[in-house]
Amino acid sequence: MSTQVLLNPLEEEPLIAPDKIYGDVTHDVCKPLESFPTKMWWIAFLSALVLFSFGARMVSITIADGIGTWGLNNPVGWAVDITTFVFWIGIGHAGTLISAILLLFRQKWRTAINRSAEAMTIFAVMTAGMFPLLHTGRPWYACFWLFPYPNQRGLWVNFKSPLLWDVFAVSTYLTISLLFWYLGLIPDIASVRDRAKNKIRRTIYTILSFGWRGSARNWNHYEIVCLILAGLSTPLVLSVHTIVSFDFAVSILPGWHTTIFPPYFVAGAIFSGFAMVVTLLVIAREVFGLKDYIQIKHLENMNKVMLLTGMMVGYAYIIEFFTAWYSGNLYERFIFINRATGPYWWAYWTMMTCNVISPQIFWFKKLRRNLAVMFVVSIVINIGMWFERFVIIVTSLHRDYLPASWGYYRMTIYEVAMLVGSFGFFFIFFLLFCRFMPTIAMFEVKSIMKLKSNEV
Amino acid sequence: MNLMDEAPDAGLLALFESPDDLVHAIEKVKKQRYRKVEAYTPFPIHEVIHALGIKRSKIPWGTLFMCLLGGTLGFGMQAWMNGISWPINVAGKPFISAPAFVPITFELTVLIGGISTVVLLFLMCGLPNRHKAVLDHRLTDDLFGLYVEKSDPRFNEGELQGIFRDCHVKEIKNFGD
Repeated sequence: MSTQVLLNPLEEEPLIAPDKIYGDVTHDVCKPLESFPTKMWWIAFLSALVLFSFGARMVSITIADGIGTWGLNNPVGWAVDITTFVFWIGIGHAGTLISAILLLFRQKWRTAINRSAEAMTIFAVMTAGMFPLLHTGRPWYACFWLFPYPNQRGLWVNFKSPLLWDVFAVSTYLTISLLFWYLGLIPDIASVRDRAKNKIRRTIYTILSFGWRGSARNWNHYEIVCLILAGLSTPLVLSVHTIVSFDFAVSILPGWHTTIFPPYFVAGAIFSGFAMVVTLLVIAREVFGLKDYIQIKHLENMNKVMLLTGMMVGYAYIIEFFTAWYSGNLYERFIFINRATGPYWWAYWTMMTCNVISPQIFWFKKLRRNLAVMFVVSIVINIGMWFERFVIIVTSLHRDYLPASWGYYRMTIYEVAMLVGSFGFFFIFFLLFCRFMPTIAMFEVKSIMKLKSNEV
Repeated sequence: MNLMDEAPDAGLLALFESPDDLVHAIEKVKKQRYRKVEAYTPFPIHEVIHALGIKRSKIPWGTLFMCLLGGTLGFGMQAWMNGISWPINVAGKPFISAPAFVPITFELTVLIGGISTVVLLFLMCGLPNRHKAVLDHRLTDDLFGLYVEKSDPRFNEGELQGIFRDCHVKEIKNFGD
């Protein structure tokens, strides 16, 4: 196959191994769901459980004792919690981009990867949601503070606050992504149901599939609904991180108060999200034997998106520095020079190296098609993107207008545990999803297959 | 619990291996002016939907209406709560400050529009379907089915069998008497 590609560079590279027929898709994708989990899966699952338990233990102490357990101090009132919140929300963006924007652009290569990317979105947004709730200190009251509901005092939430916009943006994002993802799953769950040999299994998947039968009349409605949800999700993807960036951009703090934030955050979100999809898919195609469907071509396309968004992010870093200098505003200029040379220089240069320099190796075709290289780079990028948010949040806060109140923020073990535990939480859900749901959108893959019999 | 176990209406099910054969069969059956015809496929096929003469879904109109309603309610809620019910002065902005209400208005437009679209889909497709049985387990896997009900006034089993055979049918299943 690969030699064929080399002989004729103009021919489009196949998205699925060429000898597959419809039945193979169902069989190959359902196989991991129908057998006892492999040893690899158990190792991954138990590791995730350990990470999560560690995080949960420390978070329970935080909830009992209060957020004084964190390293927050007077100038730095926001740190790792919000950094990690923005990080996870950003991760989610790739899933919606692949499922919605690439659907509208009729990109066929999305079909093999959209399901797992959407699942990743949902779990990432769920993970993200925990951080602002924990930061409220008393999360069990949070729903009363965040949502407008009629109460005894007749008092409402403040709709002019970007933090409240965030509540609506994130909860809408989660709901619509969940609907979109589950809607896509229904026909595939029906396939799993119809393959089930045992009665309990069939009953469970029947309920989960809502009794889908795949009649032409149903497909007619179904397709248009998918298109509508894609159309609704597209501005939603762009809006969510825009609104997250408003948390900062609407304030008047030097380093936060910039109009470049919304597009810069969205590009960064897509960048980190694609990196996470690559990390996950490189593992998943190995573990679940899906190499015939998730081909190097898919991963290469994602690497190209990372190269592009990486450069957009790099441009934003440089232009905001330039603007700070050119504006003539001393405070603005100070914050940026302080970022690069001040006490947090190490975080700034980690961010620059990971996000601007490392993706440049994807200019080389050999390297962007190399699994080991892309796996390492995707992890490096995610480390870099976490630091990006850390740099924006912490360096803008730690030295404010009054030098007497300058300070330095250090993470405590509770915050480390929360960060580590959030990965455990995310991976538990992702691994369970891979275990019980078809990880590849079977019906969509079948619809782009070119069978020999059809070509005659 | 017995789900999806109701016997289907009496009819004839033809199973094809290729979507093209299914489309040909539909065209021929339609030519003979059969009405109670339905196709079952593992994935959406536009040619099939077209051959059956199914009209474009009306759901988008519902979405449009619900989006407009959601946006209006979203803006109205904010204006009423922060401007009328309990006016809050935030940094000297007007009580009803339209620019500040844009994000939540947008989010509620999408939220209410999106949820109602899915609800409409469920209504139009009769989901959740608790009773209607699957005609053949391979219809969600790799076979393409054409179902003609016996209650169709023009139903003629011999003629249908002939049409199906012409279109390389893999298997014919007879439901009901």
